[in-house]
Amino acid sequence: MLTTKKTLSLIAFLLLFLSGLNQAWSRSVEKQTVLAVLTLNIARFTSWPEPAFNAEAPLNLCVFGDNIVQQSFEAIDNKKANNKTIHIINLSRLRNLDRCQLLYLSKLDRSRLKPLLMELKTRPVLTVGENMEFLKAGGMVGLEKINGKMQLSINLHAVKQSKLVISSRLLKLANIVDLPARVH
Amino acid sequence: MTFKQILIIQLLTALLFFLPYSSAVYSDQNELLNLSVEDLLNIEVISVAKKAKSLNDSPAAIFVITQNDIKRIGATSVPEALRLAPGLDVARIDANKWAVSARGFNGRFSNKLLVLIDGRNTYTRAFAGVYWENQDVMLDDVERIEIIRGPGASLWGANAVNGVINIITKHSTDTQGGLLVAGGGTEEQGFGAFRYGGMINNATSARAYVKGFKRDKSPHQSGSDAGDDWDKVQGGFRLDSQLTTQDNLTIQGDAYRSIINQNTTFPQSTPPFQNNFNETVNAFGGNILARQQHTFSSTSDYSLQFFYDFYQRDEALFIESRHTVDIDFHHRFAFLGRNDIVWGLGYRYNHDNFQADNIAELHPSSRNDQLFSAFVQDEITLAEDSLWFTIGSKFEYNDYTGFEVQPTARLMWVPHHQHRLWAAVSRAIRTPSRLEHDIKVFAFVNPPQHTLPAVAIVLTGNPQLDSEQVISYEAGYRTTFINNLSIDFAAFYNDYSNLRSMHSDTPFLNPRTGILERPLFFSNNFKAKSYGFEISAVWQMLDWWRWDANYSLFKIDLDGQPAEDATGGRSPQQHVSLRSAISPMQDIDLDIIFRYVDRNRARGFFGTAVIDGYVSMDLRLAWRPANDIEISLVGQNLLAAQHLEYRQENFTQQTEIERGMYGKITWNF
Repeated sequence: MLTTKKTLSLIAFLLLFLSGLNQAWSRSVEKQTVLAVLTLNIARFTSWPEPAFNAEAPLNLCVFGDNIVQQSFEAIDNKKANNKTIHIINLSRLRNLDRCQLLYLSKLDRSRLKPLLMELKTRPVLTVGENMEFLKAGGMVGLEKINGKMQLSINLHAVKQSKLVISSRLLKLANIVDLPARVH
Repeated sequence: MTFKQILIIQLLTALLFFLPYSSAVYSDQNELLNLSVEDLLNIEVISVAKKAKSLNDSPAAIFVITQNDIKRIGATSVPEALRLAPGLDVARIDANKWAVSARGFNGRFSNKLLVLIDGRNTYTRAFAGVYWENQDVMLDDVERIEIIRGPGASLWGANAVNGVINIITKHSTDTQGGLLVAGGGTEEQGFGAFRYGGMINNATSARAYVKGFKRDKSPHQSGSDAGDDWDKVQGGFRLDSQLTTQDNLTIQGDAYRSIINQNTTFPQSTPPFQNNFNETVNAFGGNILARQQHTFSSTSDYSLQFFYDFYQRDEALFIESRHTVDIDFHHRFAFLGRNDIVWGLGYRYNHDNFQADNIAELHPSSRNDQLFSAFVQDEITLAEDSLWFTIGSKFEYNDYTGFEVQPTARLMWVPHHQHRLWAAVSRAIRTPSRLEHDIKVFAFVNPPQHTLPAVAIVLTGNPQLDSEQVISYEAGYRTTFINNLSIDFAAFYNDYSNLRSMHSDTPFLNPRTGILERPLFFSNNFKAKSYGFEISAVWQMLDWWRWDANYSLFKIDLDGQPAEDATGGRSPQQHVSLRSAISPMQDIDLDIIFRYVDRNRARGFFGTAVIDGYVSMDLRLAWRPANDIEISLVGQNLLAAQHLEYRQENFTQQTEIERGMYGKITWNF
């Protein structure tokens, strides 16, 4: 039978023991942080068609996601992307999306994602999401963790439809897919 | 040095070892900003279960339990997982019975909480609550459990008085492949589960599962065995199909059978005036649900859902069977730019049958009930991205109390994306149950004293019983102002009226048995006011070490009535829980959960049982020797050999919960 005292000491010893064992973790970087910084870099390699916004206006980067996602994007607020200042807009509802040049969509129900991307299809909004499903639903850029590293996938078909241009320097690093939105 | 001092020193030393690593994590982001895309795509990346506290900007007290949480606390049943939520009172009555409620009024037959599993209402009209032992899911296939404290009646209808629990399972495309779970231990004597998922065609995915378990008996306080061991086998499936770009279809179903042992005490009219016996309850049931969803645009869709649910329980008190058919329609659309409107219609049909021939009888023994409902809700955006006003109501017509209206008004304000404030006023009702309406049961018999004959108390249903009602005032604040710390606070004031009470009538002599019978009728004469708050915090101390803490305070004023006279169950004033989730290496998890539950009272035919406050601790250690295999060891209720959590209102003995250990292996293939 374990007494309360013994159990508590056991925990304390365990903690002490564990404190030496965190080597693997200290070298790697948390995924959400990398996602935000990668999104900034993607914005830097993208050019928007002229009427998308006027020369002095900031680049509106709209973020739809939970508080953890929103927090990670704080680090890139007010950073520069091709002479434009990034302005983060944290969306609470998927409304009024015309003001966004870049839309980062964290997890969204399949049934809502597809019609949303359909509606944005021909507008100059760069859509960035978190997996292959996102590209299949008509999204442009997918960032997915595969074997411990981030993989960048770009749906060229969707990018072209919206008249955005992504630099070939970025395309070279990406896994290119050319997917029209699936009918099924 | 005392034990405490040694312990503190040990903990501090451990913390000191950890602290240097925390700074490494914070400085990362600035360094990352200078990296090229090539470099960013080449760094080692880890995912951390930094759970978001709030699902979205709902103006309600919402808490979400994720799949990862369920796994990491080693929960083996839905109620065990629910212990993670603030403001919920979860008490285990014995091996096979639970008492679960939100914001007070707990009991095995608590009746103010609505529970939905994938949109299927698990409420039974029998006692207006949930038979928790009947409700189970494949825990590994649960995506999340959403817990809403406070009234949800304007959307979900009667019975969502103090809270709503939504258990949501994964889409079948997320459960592809096989999963095998096996384990066993002292209390969880043996359990196993198998699931397999695949694609039927390009647009259709499906899964099927089967699970089973055997749980050990619990002891009485004296240590003698309570004879409450049980086992259960359950199977089910889910199929999701994308019919067209705009149409989705989900079909799912489950079937179960369980053998529940219990020790039952019935009153009797002859000495010794009570009869204690062991019985084996056979409980079985099943359900099937189909839902079609059509999407017009990102702001407009409708869903049409149908379900059928059946269960039967063969108990000494009565044999109960119940069939429920439910049809539900929802439509959402944007209107005039600023309005997001949801409206819906529902119909429910219930057919039940009670065979009662011991101490209870029901008139009529079989009944068909109908429920018609409609609701409408409008969310108005008053200021873009910062201020929303929601107004709505449910309108119901039921066979017990007729027409009912349950409105709500809610305001959500986001002055800054790290600060969210909300407030709400709502009315909700709890319609009478079938038993409150139609039962006649010998509750207990007072033995003869001196010259007085034996007196039997006969609990008698009241067809005139009205709905219980609450007007609830709530407010909340959520913040993520401090990096890596999120705090969620909610406070409430509930004003109840028409609460169920009992009044006794003049005794009369039953010539057949020769004892006096005193009828005890249900009535609506209680009023109560309850208030309190809940606070929950998540601190991601390090990428691999997270703390979750909850505190809740609940107070009730039973309108001058001493607490001892209150019918139905009560809830403890305070709950505290502290959870530490540590992953010192990527393939090792260590989880520690402490819970403190304040002193409580259970009230029933037996009188009043005092339940002492208790502290309990669970521990889990898991190791993943390969990507797809996890071996875990779980200790539950470790701080005491046995402790009391609650006592059922009637017919059973007080039973305590034992310390338990189990081992488990999970294989994904």
